[in-house]
Parts: sequence; C-alpha cells; structure tokens
Amino acid sequence: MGRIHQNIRGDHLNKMIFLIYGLCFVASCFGAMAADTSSESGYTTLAQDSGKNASDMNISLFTITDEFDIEGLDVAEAVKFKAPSSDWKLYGVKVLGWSDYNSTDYSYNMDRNFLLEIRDKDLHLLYRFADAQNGYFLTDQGPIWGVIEIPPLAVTEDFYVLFYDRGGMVVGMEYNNGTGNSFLYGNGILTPAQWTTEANETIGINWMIEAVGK
Amino acid sequence: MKKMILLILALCFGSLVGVTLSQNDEVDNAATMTVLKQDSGTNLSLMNTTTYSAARDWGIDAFAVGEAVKFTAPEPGWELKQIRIVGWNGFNETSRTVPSPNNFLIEIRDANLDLLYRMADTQNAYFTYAGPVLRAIDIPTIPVTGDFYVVFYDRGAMVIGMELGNATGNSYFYDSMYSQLVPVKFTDEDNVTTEINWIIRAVGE
Repeated sequence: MGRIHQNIRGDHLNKMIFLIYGLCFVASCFGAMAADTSSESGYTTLAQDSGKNASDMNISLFTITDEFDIEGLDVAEAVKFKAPSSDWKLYGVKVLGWSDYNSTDYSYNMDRNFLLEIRDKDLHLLYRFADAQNGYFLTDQGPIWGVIEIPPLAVTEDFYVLFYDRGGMVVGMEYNNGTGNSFLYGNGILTPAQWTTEANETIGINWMIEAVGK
Repeated sequence: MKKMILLILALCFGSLVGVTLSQNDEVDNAATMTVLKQDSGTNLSLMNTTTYSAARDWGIDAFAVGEAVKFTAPEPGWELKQIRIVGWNGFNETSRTVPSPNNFLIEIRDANLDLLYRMADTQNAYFTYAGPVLRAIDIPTIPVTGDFYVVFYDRGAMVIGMELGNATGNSYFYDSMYSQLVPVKFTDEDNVTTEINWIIRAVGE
C-alpha cells in the first residue's frame, strides 16, 4: 500500500460513508441475476449475509473508487468466515458482481484487474490472485455470481476473503441486516462496513461474497 | 455450449501457415528439462501451423473457454516447472504499436480437472514480438502424477499456435462454466473436418 495515501485513506475509512449505488435500479437487476453454474457437489457454501432469499434482500451495488477515489484502489471489501471443520479446505470464492456490458452496441469495459486475497484470522496472507474483471463478471444479464476457483487451501477457524474491485466493476452488498462480518480492509486494518445516514443512523451491510469448500 | 462439438474455422483467414517462429531465452535456459509435447513433435518450422483465438468462435464466452492440452507425467515424482506456448499479441513492428493490455489466464488441472494452479498476466509482457513466438512461462514447481491438463485462456487478447492435422487427440477446449472438455475439430465451408493440436507444451523434471 502506498505510504503516501495512508493518512488520506484512514480518514476516508473512518468516515465510513458508503455510496449507495442506484438502489432502485439494482432491485430490478436481480430478477435477471445469473446463477452460479459451477458444480458444487459435495461442497459447502459459506455466506455471511442475512440468509434471506436473494429476491427478498435489499441489494445494492458498490464500487470502491466511487467512495474513495484513487485511494480506494488498495481498499478491499472483506468478509469474515469460519471454517466448519478442522480439515476444511477452501476451493473457491463467489462474488456477486458485474463489469457492465452494453447490449446495444455489444461493447464492454476495458480489462481492469481485481485482486482476491485469503487471509487467516490474524490477517496473514494465505493466497492472492489478480485477474481481469471481464473474465468473471462480463454478462449481458446484469450482476452475476462470478466464481473464482483457487487451488485447495486449508483454512482453520476464522479466515477472511478480501476482494479489491479497484473500480473496475461493482460488487453486491446487502443493505442493512448486517451480520457484523463485513468489513473494509485497507492499510492493514479492518473497519466494519456500515453506512451512516444523514440522521446519524448506523446501518450495517453485508458484502455478497461467499466461500466454497469442503 | 454443451452442444458445441464442431466449430467453423475460416481456414483461409487463418492461413498464416509457416509463421516465423522464434523462441525466448527461457526456452534455452530450461534445456535440461523434459519437454512434454502433444503435437506431432515435428520441428516447428516444418509444421503446418496457423493461429487461433477463442474469440473467433466463442464471442463473449471466450472469457470462460480455454485451449487445453492433456499431458501425462512421465514418472512418479515428476514436477511441472514451465509452460511453453506459441502465441502472439499482434504487435505491429513497423509502427511499434503495442495492443491494449489484456490478461491471459493459465490453469493447471489434474486428471479430474481439479485446479492445481492458476496465474493471470498481461499478454503484452510475453507475446510482443514481430510474429508468433514460442514463449516459455515459468511457474512454481507443481508435482503432477498421471494425466494433467494445461489450460490457456487467450480471451481474445492474442492468438495461439495450432498445428493443422496430425492430431494426437489431446487438444480440447475447456469450458470453465460447465467444467468440461470439448474435443477440438474444425469444419470448413466445404464440410472438411480438421483436427488440430494446440502448440502448448509442459516442461519439468
């Protein structure tokens, strides 16, 4: 993380005022939300959202640079999970996201990398992978559960999935009903993901990020 | 996608047969290692080759479709250390124009198609040459046993080399959406079917 941005980023994180990105628009998008098509036979999917049916969730789309500008390039949407057993291995991460697509002229955004990190309970890095958003989130159907496979990774107890969208795409978040397991990660610090309204009401959110393993 | 067995290839479009192939230094530096080939094994300069990009046939789905080659580890304890592939990003040497950077993706999968390793990087860092090049890409040492697959997603950002005819039956498309392999056969306008070999090689010891 660039040291020159540390203080600026810290200020931003402390304010924790999220951009709510077209709530009304997004509600209509989820009717067309594509399903995960990967085979999950024998796999367990861990989620830290409210557990409601997706169609009943109040879901919005978020991109980090809309809130933090370029300082957001090193800030991740993070979710804390707990491995269900001592020998459980992580095989993949599912992220509800979209890299946009213009179905009229069939154009799409230029490739921009996202970054995925897996960290243990002490935030030590276990795995990281960067790739272009279009390889996973390019669809003419709106937001999709993009599946990012990883080589089997042993995780025990609590672990974190960090997704840096880097402004190249949007990520789904469940507005309110926060379970307390969603964070922003920047400068080595986890900050609870919550939104402060003009009425000074704090509303927790859940990133739509899931962990798949067995 | 599931039904897609035969694809139409405009062979005349791809008639870069006899492309001038060069190779980068890493190829020479790994001269002592074992090179697994699933093409005809003919010297590259003598092969009947052309170039291909998944975007030609798969459109937007090309992001999820890779060119795959099945290999067999020559012995227990064998370790994969390098991938070699003929590719080109379309660099124009006259105007010195480098294409926009786009990622390719390499995956190593075991006999059950379970993921062992993956890496993504920009095509321009490896394939900016006057023409197709046999490029070596080092990877962390990966023990492989029995059959394994090397999958290369060109994502429409570049072309890769393929050998026309002399098919060994080890080249596929890998559809990551459905986790399945699709044999590669191309049928031209005269209904002539051509089987091919991707020029992708596995290097280790």
